[in-house]
Amino acid sequence: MIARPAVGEILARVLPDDSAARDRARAALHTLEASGVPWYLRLLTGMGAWVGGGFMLSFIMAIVAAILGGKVEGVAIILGLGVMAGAVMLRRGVTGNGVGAQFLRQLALVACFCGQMLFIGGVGATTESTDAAAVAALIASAILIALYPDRVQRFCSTVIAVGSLLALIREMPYCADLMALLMVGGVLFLGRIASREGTDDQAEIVEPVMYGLAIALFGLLIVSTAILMFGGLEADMKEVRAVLIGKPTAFGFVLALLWLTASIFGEHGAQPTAPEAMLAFVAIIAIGWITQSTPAITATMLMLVLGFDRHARALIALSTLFFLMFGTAYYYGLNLTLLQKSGILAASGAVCLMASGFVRYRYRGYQALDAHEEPA
Amino acid sequence: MDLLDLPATPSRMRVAAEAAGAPPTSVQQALTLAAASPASRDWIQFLTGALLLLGAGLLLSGIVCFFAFNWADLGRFAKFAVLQAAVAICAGLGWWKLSNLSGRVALFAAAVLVGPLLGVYGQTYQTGADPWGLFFFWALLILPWVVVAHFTALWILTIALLDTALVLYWFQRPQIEIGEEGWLMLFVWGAAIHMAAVIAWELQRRRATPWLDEEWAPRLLVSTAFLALLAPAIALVLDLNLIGETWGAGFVIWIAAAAVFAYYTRVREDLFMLTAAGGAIMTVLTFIAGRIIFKELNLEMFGGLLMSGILIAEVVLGVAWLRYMIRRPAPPTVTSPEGEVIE
Repeated sequence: MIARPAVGEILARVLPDDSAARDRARAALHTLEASGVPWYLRLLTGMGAWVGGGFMLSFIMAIVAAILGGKVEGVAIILGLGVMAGAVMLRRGVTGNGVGAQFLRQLALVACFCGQMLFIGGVGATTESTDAAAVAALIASAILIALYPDRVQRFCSTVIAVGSLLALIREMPYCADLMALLMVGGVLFLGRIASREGTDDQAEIVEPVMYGLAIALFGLLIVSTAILMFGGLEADMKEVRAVLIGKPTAFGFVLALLWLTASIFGEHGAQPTAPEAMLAFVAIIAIGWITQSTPAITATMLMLVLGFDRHARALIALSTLFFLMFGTAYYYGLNLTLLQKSGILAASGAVCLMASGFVRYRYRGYQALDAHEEPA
Repeated sequence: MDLLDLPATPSRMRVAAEAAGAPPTSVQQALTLAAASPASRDWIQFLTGALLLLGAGLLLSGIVCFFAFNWADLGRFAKFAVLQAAVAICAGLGWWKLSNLSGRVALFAAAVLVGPLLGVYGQTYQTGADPWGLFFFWALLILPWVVVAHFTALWILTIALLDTALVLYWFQRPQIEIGEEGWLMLFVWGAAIHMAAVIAWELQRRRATPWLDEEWAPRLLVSTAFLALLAPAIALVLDLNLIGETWGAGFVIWIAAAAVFAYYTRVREDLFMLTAAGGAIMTVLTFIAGRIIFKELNLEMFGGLLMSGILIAEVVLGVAWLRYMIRRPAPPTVTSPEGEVIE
């Protein structure tokens, strides 16, 4: 159901039947697949690089402290910048897929993480200012996303940049709402618009940044939902205000989901005034209104729809997992007895089952069609 | 597998179309098709499937919450009647539409409702049974449905019930508290349940028409098994004095990894499984290196540099080996006239 059409199927639609051309395409795909790295190997290399970066950092700091004594902050900034620059140059200069090239790539990644930590930590320690460290992290992340050609680094830099921006605007009213809406806007732009017809080089930036934004958004929503669920003292609430989302986010998520739905209907040639589109809009507004105490539910629905639209299995899996988590939080947080909750759970389940049956019955004509074929 | 059957991502499509000699307009057309939103039929399937699963989940949660509330106004016969009727209706629906998703979801619902039924039985007759028994017999009772349903979610539910039963049993029967000698064997038994389930999955996959073919489930079980086995292995390396007489628990991860490497390179190639086993072994090796460098050799300053180098070498060699293993020519397989795969 999530699967994209096959390469051969699309090739047959754009090219006349030519077995020699198909053989050439097979050979090119073989080369491409041989150089590809699946996500779980990236995860392994990324985790190894983070831990390795931490050890390298401890070594550098120990050496600097041994030479200069206690005054290591200023040197850390310069060293951090130097190590980052060296890592970028090393990574951009490495070609090939041999073990030697892989070793240099991993070394560059470890050094890059280490340089990033040195630079951010050095700025923070020198100025004794969280804001300055956040600005340093933001600038370093932006530069690394643009210059360092590695998905793991781009993903991590995106998450660091989001955290830094939130730290920077933490005193602003509605800062968590602003961040949540910026992130959802970013995910929508990158997923629905920028990922469409970009070159492979652009995809190398767009995909990790999109996943970085999605993970950062889910992270913010988890923290906010957990604080709202389990509560806290008045003083604690003041301290954690920077990560608490509210009504503007709930409203913004609904608007974003409405836009995404309208955009998908538009791609399928349906007007926003079509009955299907109107029904979808009403359902989204109703869900948004009912679950306004837990806006994360609308956000995960948005990610789920976007994931299916973009055939992004990882986004679908993440959204499903978080949907279950936030759905549980929503029902747990209802100020009702267990008996009343059981009634609401059963009733909402019955509504979903009826909706599923209705959609299946109403659009039964579509079931017999081949993929990419629309009924007359 | 024909490489042209691979899903058409934009990068694959660009490479294939350009290699096939397509003109720029056709390449662009192919890219547009690859990046297009799914067809209306797929959206409808997605919507109906998602609503069906969500609806079934919510309804079942409601029923479980209702019986957990133990409403006094509802008599015991009414409780039994409601639950047994629900189980019978769901099982009947499942039997009627077993080939469809809706039938499998109905059978899943019947399997879930067996739990509250056992719970109500315990509440009514005060059997005095331990909680682990409820989950164990729940898993046992639904086993026939698991076999006939061919539904991955139901299979995972059974494993989750067995896991819960094991954890409850471990803290009730042997009465070993967390941190006491022998408690790390819990992780080994948990991993054993998962590995046994994966062996069963691999055996059924060798049928001409496998009952279950969704690979995320065995991958999830193998990953969680290795995560569990890491606890005793790391405790052994760090000499946390938690292992005691059951120190052998710390070595099980090596046996499990060897078995996974052997099976998923010689019988059925699966890079994910190899990565899970490889990642677990690399983690243990890193802890061993850390212990030698920082505790035995006491290399304080240069220890960080050495550890960093070891980690880089470990990851690079590990990933290179994993990629090499999966790209070797596939071992020949022979199929019997009945369609069974013969080694």
